[in-house]
Amino acid sequence: MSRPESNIRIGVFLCGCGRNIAATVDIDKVAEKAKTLDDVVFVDTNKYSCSETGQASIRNAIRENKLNRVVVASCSPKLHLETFKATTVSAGVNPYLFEMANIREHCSWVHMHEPVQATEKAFELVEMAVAKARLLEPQTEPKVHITPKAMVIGGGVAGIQASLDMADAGYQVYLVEKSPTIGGIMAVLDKTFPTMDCSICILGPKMSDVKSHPNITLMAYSEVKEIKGYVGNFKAKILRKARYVTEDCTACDECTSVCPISVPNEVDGHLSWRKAIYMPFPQAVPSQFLIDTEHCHGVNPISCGKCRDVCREKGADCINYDDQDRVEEIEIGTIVVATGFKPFDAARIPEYGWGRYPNVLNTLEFERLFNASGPTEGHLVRPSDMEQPKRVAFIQCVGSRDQRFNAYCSNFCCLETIKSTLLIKEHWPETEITVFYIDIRAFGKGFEELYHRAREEGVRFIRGRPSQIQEEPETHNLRVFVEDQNENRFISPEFDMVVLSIGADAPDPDVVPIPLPRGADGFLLEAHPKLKPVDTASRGIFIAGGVESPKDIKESVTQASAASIRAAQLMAKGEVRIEPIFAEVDASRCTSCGTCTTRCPYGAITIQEKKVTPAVVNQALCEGCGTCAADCPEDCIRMRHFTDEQILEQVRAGLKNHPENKVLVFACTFCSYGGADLAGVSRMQYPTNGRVIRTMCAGRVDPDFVYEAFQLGAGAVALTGCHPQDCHFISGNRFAAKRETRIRRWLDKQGIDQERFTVEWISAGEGKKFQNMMTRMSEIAEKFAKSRKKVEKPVV
Amino acid sequence: MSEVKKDVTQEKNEEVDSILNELEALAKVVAPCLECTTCASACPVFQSDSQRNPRRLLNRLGRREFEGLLDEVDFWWCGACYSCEAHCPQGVPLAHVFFRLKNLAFHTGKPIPKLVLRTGETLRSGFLIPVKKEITEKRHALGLPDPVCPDTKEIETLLDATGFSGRIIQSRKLD
Repeated sequence: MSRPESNIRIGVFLCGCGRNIAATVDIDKVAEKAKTLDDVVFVDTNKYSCSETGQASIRNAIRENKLNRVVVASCSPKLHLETFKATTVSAGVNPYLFEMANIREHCSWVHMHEPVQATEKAFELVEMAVAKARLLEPQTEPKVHITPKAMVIGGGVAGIQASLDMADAGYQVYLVEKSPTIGGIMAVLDKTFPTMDCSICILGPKMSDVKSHPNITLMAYSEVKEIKGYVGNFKAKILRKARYVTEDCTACDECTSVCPISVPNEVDGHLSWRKAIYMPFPQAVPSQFLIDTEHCHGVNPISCGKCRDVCREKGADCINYDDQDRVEEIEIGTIVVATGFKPFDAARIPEYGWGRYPNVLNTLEFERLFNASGPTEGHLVRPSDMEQPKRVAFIQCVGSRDQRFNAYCSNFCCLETIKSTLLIKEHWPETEITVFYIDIRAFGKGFEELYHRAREEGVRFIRGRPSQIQEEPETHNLRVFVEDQNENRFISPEFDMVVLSIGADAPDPDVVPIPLPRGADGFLLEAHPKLKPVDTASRGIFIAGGVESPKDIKESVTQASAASIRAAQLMAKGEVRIEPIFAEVDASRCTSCGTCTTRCPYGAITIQEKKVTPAVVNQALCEGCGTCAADCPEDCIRMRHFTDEQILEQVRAGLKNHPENKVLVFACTFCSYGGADLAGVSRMQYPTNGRVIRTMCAGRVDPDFVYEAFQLGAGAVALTGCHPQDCHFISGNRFAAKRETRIRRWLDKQGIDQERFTVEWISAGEGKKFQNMMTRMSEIAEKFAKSRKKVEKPVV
Repeated sequence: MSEVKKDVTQEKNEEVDSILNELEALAKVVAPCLECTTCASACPVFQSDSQRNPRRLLNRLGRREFEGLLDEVDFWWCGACYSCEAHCPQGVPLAHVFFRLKNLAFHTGKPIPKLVLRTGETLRSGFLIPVKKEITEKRHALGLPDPVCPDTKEIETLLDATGFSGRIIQSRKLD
């Protein structure tokens, strides 16, 4: 492929990022060297390229020097690609003639103790960017229509808030909730901290607002089974599970009195009973009963039919045994994921005896015991003998700050416990309350004051995490084994009741049927931890509440409102520009083999098999992963902005000097490139010989790129991408993985050691994994570089 | 003469360095410790004697207060029941750390509590706990055979080979 134009004028702008880059990388030296590169006509340095002054100087330099390619060497493109694209546009240059070199996350921050080598690497990263810039082509961004409708997944307080906010702003909202009622965890709590508001009293009205809002379609007892499409144009399939009770139900409650089946009530933490026909709790929305088919005698009049009989006797006919699950398809423009966290299962810490000892409760069970609509109507009793406990202990960090389960702090449990102790003290001041804790974290507004009140009320706070609880078999009293750290002594006090302050588990991996990046802790990852806290890597999909990290009600609501304005921003415009990274087929060379059609997960590339005509790409459907281009046997598919020639030029530039020492890494923009960035942000140091090439998906990596790298003498090559189930292009990295055997066979033929090539799945949350891989691969490269030198010596 | 002297100091320095390196490595191992106290409350030694606290030993290591650490006798009381390790939420291998401390103290000629030395003596008889009549009776009641005495010669050889016997004699002299 020839150069698109002969008069190429490249400008290189180096950023010191205050001292973030400049402290390690000598950017003046890099600038001097950059001037010697072909086609580079202008080089400048900036203290902060992203600042208004920095951008203005870039803008002026582009205009004054008539630059037609722009390279900025600064931070990660995941942070500021859009910023500098906009700068380029404002200077009258097409944004796709811009390229970034990441000399911060991939260089200065990970080689903090090796300034000389880091400077050398920074220059080579610039050289690679310049090599790609030379071949860049202008592109026009097509606009796509945005459906002004949103889907909110999860009907907890975050989902409710997001739905109401968007609905009030005038957008149609579908709220999909898995369980029979909305309300989530907040609906089962008694009081909220730090204000001691009654939880359901403040949530209840919002729940009914959802039901009555003209712009909200509530889909309770429903699950999202499939999401397809792209920003502005998503299609979702919703499974509406059969309730067997129609919407005419007035919740008169007659049916429950005749239902012969009793099962433990999950809303009450199994501390009470409910019937097989039931409503989860009195304030449930929709206020409509349902039949639990797992326990019902058979959902037909022959097996039982008592509920239908009584309903008909009362003059209604709301029970429909013929109800069936059905699938509804909806079209939406944006999605807010608010599916929440999972409460930690205390049975996983057997030494605390939850599930074996009746008087050991978890937070949620305790909340129900205290709740006026709970099993005891708000009377605190212990389950073993229904006596009011006189001595109550709370144990903090159950499942949190624990490497065996969740390493993170679960955020809400300290205040949850402090609130509970105050509630007990308020009703029964004579109760002795002890809290065992590692650290009390009362960081929010009004939190420390609440902690102070609990101390004033005489709650004992003992610093120490108990190792076990033993039950006295006769009395069912509980003995807690703990070191009182402040007194430096072992104590084993006895209690009538122990409450385990459970933390939050990450959501299940399949909580939404669309790949969204997750952190190492399992929670969904935001697009940027500071500046895009409710965006995801997928445009048009936002996150709010406990699905992002463990958080309390206020934070969930704040995030939900933030997510809804982000979604509303898109919907308000009515259309959005999308990146023109599409596949193009060179019809003259296409043999109509059909390989590409099997690679495309979107059905964007098609072939008429009978007619044997060349493949055709539907650009509206193409997402730009490049899997088809990499696997095309004729190499006649061209990925715009990530062409074979552009990537090969990067490979060549990266391996120009001392290739035998280099580790060339292909990283996908969504996961492994993010992992590399995280290693940078976390200052995880690794050797300076890595050179990362960014592609949209691991699926883009043509084996030819790897062959070229080894033929140029690369020390080691790594092909990296998302974990297989997380691929943002559904199946791109599966096909990338399939190429491994082909590549390894080739390595064998060439007599190249297998160790020098690796395939790694690294999520955007796995900075440590990236660091480890780089360290390992660079050792391998070093090993082979040394052995090669030994062989070469006699020749020299 | 002076050259020999220099060699000795150099050797001494090297030895001190290697101990410091070892302690530094241990400090890294215990770095995840949050001082949550779970290990202490699970430790049968601490449960009966609040003076001997595994957490405080860990804390000293973590803060790199190495001075006099090997002269401590607390870690010698660790019976390697592994309760602390099993309970530790941060996965700190406490018993392993105490073994390393014991080995370091042993090899650098630090005082060893009499209790431990006596254990070495007892081992020569083949049993850690002397076989009493009650024990034999209990074993019979449970349908277990009489305990078999291992080859004491072999134990002696082992104790000699590992330098344990030498250290016992040395400690007696110190006494």
